Amino acid sequence: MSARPYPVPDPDSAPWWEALQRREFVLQACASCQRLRWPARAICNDCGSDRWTWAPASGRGAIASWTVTHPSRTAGGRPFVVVLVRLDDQDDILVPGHYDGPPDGAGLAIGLPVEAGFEDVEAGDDGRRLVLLRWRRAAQGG
Amino acid sequence: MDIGNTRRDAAAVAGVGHTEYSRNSGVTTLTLAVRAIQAALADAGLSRRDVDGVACHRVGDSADPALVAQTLGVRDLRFVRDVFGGGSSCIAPLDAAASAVAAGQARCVVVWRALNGRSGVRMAGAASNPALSADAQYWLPYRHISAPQQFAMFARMYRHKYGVTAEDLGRVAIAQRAHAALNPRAMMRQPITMDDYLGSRWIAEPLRLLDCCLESDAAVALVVTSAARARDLRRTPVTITATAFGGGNQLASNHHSDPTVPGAAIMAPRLYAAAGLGPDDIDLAELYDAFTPLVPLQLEAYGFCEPGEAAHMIADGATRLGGALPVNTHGGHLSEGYVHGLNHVAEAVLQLRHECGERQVPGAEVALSTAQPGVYSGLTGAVILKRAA
Ligand SMILES: [Zn+2]
Repeated sequence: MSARPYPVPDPDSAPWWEALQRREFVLQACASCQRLRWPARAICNDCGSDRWTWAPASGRGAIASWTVTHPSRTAGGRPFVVVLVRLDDQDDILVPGHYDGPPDGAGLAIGLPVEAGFEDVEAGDDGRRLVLLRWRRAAQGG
Repeated sequence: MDIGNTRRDAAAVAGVGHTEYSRNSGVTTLTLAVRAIQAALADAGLSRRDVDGVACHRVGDSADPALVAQTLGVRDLRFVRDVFGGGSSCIAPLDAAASAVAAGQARCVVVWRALNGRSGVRMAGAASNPALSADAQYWLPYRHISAPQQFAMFARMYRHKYGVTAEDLGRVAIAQRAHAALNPRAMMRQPITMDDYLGSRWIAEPLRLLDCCLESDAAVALVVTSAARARDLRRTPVTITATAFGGGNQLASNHHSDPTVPGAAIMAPRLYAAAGLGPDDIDLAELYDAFTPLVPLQLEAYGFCEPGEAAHMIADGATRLGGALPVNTHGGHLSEGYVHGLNHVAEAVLQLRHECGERQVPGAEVALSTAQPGVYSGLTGAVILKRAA
């Protein structure tokens, strides 16, 4: 499989990516109606306000879905898992990421409690360092 | 009068044209478009001199409609609609043509989709096109790039919500292949079994190869004119009873907590109201099928069964030829070919003209043809067509 694409942030998303590079997982909180939102937008789709703050996410959520991609043999890649996590912070926010588990997705289940972690990968044609989300099974009672 | 009713059955599809379907056309999308339009005009008994409007959709993968008009030899172009979008937008050019004809902006609009979808720009990688979605940036670094991956994420949610099994999805692929076996145009005509389906390789779990649409080099064109004029032309007219659009939500955006409820479910009542018809009036449905789960999803969204019941409806044979609601009678994107929804509209028209030979739905009078139901894209559309009395 070809190189992992490096994300191309826009003016809305750049602060989110910058925070992630500092190993911080943040969400936008509307300064007017307090609703959380993600992906990043300059305007609240609830109240129309263009004022917000970046708030730390709890990092807790539950598995909403996952895929196990099987790259073709010619691409030479190994199977890999991508999960989609429904956040505890607000249940209409779904965030993708890697999963700290076996590459066939064994042990995953919809509703499984997870928590956010981070990982360093290389991305882009020049192999730049990139921090991504890597979800892991939540600690018992967490 | 409700919104959308004013042009009920005012416009008609008077002609249908296809190019050959292949994996490598060896020609430009401009050539494909003009060939399909020429075939559609010949089918209608019209010439290029009659054309005064053009409409298509594309995603940066097909010829400019002004260039198509010029190459076709249109002398006095009065209406152009160049829609940017993929499967979710595939009904928009037809809708625009129907409105233009009904409003008197143009008398004869050709509608087409032309793509070298296998040898040229492959839609499977469309998610990596930032112009299609600003939110792709959040997925690409995880190498979650392709349409099968995106729809696999949705498919697991849909299966989980209603207990839909792999075999349930396999029955969609098997039924459509059986239909394609009766369709000389179809790219894949060899019947498949459940073992074939379950044995086909994983693309992105839970989707297998046989859950995924084909990739095709092809074009399909329609000729749209007034219903009154269509009566004097060569073919049985098929009127555009109603069109509708819907959506407004995307996966992973606020206010859309359940991706298994697509825009189509919210839109369908408006479509039926605009048509003055209901699900029971539909004789056949050509449902946008980039991936198998979209078929049961739309059976539910368009009210042919209750949410969660579509897998049973399919298992009972209702969607096969001879069933209560034959679906994707040409084989769909899974087995006929991938012309981005317009081959579905073309099949609906041919069915309503009673020209489908072995795969003809007897006595078909009303058909539904749909766009991608709005999963991820936040946009969908559909058309109800009627055989003119
Ligand atoms: Zn707000």
